[in-house]
Amino acid sequence: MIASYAWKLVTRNKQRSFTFVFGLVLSIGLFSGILFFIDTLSRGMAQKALAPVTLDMVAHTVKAEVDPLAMVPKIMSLRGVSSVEPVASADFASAIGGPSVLGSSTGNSPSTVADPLNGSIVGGRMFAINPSYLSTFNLVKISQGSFQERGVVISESMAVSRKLGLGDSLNLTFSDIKRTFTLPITGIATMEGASALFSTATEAENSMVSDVVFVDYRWFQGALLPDLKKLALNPATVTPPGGILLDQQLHIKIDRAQLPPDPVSAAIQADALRRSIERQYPGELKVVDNVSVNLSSTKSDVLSAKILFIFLGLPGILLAAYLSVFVTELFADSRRREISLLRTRGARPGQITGIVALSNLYLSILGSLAGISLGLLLISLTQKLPLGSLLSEKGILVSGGFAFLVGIGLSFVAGFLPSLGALRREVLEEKRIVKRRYTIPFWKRSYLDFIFLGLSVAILVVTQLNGGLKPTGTEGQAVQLSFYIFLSPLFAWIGTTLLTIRIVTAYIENPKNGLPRLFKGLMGGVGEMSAQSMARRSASIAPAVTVIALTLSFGISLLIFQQTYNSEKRLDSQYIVGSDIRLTPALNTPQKADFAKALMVPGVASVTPVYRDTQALIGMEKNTVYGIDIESFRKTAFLPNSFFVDGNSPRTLAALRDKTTDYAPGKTDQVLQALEQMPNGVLISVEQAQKYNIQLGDPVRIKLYNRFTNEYKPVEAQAVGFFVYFPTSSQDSDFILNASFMTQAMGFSGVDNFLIRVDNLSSISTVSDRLKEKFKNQIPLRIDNTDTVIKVDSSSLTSLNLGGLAFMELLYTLLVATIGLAVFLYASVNERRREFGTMRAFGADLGHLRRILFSESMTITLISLLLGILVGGILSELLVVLLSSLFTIPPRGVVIPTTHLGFLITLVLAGLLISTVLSARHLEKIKVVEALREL
Amino acid sequence: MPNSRTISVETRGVGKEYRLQGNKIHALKNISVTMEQGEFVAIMGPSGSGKSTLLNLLGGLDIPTQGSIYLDGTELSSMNEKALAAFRRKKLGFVFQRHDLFPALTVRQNIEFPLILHETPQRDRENRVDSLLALVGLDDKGGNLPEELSGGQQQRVGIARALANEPTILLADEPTGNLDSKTSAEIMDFLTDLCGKSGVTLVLVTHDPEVAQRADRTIFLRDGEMIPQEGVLL
Repeated sequence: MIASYAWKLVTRNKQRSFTFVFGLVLSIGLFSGILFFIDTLSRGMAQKALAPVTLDMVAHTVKAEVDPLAMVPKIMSLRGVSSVEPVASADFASAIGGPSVLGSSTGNSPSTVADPLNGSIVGGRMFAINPSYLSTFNLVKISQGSFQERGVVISESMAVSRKLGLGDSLNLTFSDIKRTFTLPITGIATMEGASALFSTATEAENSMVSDVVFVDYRWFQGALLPDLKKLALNPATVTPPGGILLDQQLHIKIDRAQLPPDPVSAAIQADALRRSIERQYPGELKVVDNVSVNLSSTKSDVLSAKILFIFLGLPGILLAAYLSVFVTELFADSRRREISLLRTRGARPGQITGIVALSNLYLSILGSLAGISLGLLLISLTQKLPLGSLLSEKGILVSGGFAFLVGIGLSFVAGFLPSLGALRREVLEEKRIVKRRYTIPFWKRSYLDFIFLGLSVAILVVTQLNGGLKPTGTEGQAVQLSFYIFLSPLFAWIGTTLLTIRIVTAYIENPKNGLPRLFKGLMGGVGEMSAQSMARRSASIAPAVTVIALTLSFGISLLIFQQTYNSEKRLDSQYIVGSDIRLTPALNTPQKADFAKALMVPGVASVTPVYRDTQALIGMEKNTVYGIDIESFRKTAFLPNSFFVDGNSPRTLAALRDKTTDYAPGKTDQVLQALEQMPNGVLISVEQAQKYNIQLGDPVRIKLYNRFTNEYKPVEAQAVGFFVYFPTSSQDSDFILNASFMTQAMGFSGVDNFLIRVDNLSSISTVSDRLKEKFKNQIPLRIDNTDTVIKVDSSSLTSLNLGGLAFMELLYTLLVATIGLAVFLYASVNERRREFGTMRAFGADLGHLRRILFSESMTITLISLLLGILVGGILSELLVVLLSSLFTIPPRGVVIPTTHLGFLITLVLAGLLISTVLSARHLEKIKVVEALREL
Repeated sequence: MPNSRTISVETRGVGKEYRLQGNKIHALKNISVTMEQGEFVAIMGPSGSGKSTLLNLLGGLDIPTQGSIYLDGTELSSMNEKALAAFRRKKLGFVFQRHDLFPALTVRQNIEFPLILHETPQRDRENRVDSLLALVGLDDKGGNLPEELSGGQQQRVGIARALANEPTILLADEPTGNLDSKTSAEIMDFLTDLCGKSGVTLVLVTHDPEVAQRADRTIFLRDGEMIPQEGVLL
């Protein structure tokens, strides 16, 4: 009987039940939507992490005498392995083209091929592969001809630079091997996307080689391998830096379908497979696992993304939950009257508790299920995933279950507990008090709002004093986000919510707040009277304002954060590229500085050459040294003042000495001028200056390396300036010289890359295409621009597209704001039916009642809008400050998306107006006689 | 009772029917009464006899299913909703059993409400409210909220509010229903006095025979019909 009565309680009060359920649907809908978003996010991140991996695992033999071919069957038999291909690589000393000459060794000594700039021998790398390799791995694509056992396939850049073609013969020589190997060129291959071929067992970075040849593995085994093995086993053999004498490998393809979608689990599984492979041949194989490396970097990003998205979603969830509580509060009086009625009709407290609990449970089940359905629908729409596929995922089901329980819990706290409290009071006392006595809430008495805000500021200050979050400093590793970093904004949110209620309540209750005068002017005496009555109804109006203001601030802060985020992504890519476009000729076709003239195609504003030595020595350590032409570099490169520090400042000196990061800011012009004025000047990164204990004016001995002569040349430079970041550096450039000084010292004038600035940012892709077209089939080169650059060193968090989440949350902003107002106005009309009936009895017509409603709506809208913009602005600043370490270059401030903000505010205002109009229609439905008859 | 007074309230064959779960309920049947200007008429009857229904019809808050109602010579059914509201503002005052004061407005603001609807200028409103507060003996309670007053005081505010626009007809639905006997007597003294002095027609629904005794005339209802006999308690 109690169960059926409880159900009747739900169905009889349709409007109240619907309103409560709707609030719950919004709360649980957003909460579950965020959870589902995170579940699908990790799936997306794992796929994204693995997409660029073209070579899953490479097993390098540790000793030359090991036979990798014999290992193939055993490794193939391991679970999770899809294919295994033997590969051998060795550097050749020279490759000379000639007319078609059949046969192998001629016994002639190799003639040299002049380096176009310096006249030295140019070598390259040989890879020995089976024909099946080309179909198993998508690294090498034969663009002309075919791969044959008794032939050689050469790289496109080699074909272009040496003017070789199909049918030509190639005479290959190897260091310390007397014979020359002659093979016909049977194919030409594209090497784009083949960088994974060049990894070694010891170096993290792939050193790409331009001149590459591919030979059949069987031919290699018979013709070359024995000699190379002999050399490798000879301890007297010397291999030049960065060179390969003999590297025997097994390229392993794993079955990705067997990897779990979650990157964390997938990384663990891949790593286990790697160990399993090494375990088969202890001490003989070293496996480079590209899969788990990529997944592992994603692993921390997944965690950080989850934290980031939970944080970005948390305010929305809290707001929507608050909406549920707010809705329940609006109907509290009628609920209490209902309970009183049951008591007067003889129901016992236990029975009433049961009825209330069950009716609450019915509503919570309905609301939670509907909310979860809404969350699924939103994810399906924003992530473009079929609903069916979502429902079959374990993660989604678990999250859905969790969201359901949260819905039940929320309903219990927001709906059942207040009703239970009402039941406990005396019925007679309840009957005497038609309007609940307003008591000062605990949080207000104990100033919890100020306490939370104080805690938020304290955490922020402590975080910033500790230097904020620092990037890891290791290339390829992602940025970690600690959870504690979100406590500051979380406490700020809670404190702001409570403080908003306090401020709004105080304002509305203040008889001199100007509202009666305002509404008297707008709506006459009725408007004035309505404003006066609002002063005594602040307990219900303030929460409505809070819900809408904070919802709006949430949407605004998210918009600003997203715009800043996207803007910083672009700035980061400008920093990585160095300017708008970076053009890098192939290593075997180095260009001189005057090649810049040829790059001045339509749309190009300026060009600057950049020299680079990646093998320079400072002390005993290798460093990368850049050489720049200051005049053109100034005009072309991306050089904000924030990149440089004031090296003369005591603050900088103290920071260098004490190894802190508190440098005095410098100016681009000042630092570059110092370099220009000192021919042997060097600019140094602050990290290296600290490491090598260098101060301004100190001499710096550098050994520059000439890759053609394989010789080091020592030079003495003088420290003239320091920088935090340098264009194109992305952590690998720490020393900057004058180009003229560098090339003279190195004895090599080949430019590493050219930076290009365009006239118009929107023409970057067009200009890039023009350059590609101009030099197609003439000079092999790589073109990067800010639109397409891949950030090797960056966190994949910054490559996340916040768009999907932003769309979902902006939709919620609109929904919660408009529905929050509609709910308030609707409940306001419902709870005051008798009052409105009395007004009608005294001669108020519908127009008068609408004016009362509109004045309340306008009050809520205006105050919410002002507060929402203010709080949203502050919160976005806080977010950007806290998350500045996500970016290679810390953001310099927020970027305000005025158009989007205007659009959001307009949409919200339109929604509020619609809510008001619809709620006003509810007034027409009040039947005066029935209203007056209500208890 | 003054002689040759004009007819203030007249009903001609008024009936009211409701449909409840498919059944027709006759709340009132063929009620024809007249009340003169300044007359105090009590309407008595058991629960469900149609007293409040009749009062609501007289107040233009509901529409009769049959018959017609004339107030000060104007037929109510000839007016649309807006005109009816304006008529109520000018001519009618209501006093409710539960006072039905607006809880978020002060005593002064409650009394002022009908004047605001009537678009009375502010100064005139203030003067009128002051005089009404004095009339009901609540001069010093203007700034109080209704919940800060006793039941009797709240009812006096309700009466003051009802009189704000100087109505010609005052409709009271069990105005002493929630009051103790002493306070009831005070309220009735006030209403009777008012009726006699100002010429307001007072139509009062009551269960209380003592209250009804003060009226110039009592109309008895039973099952929606008038019972012509006096003194027959139902």
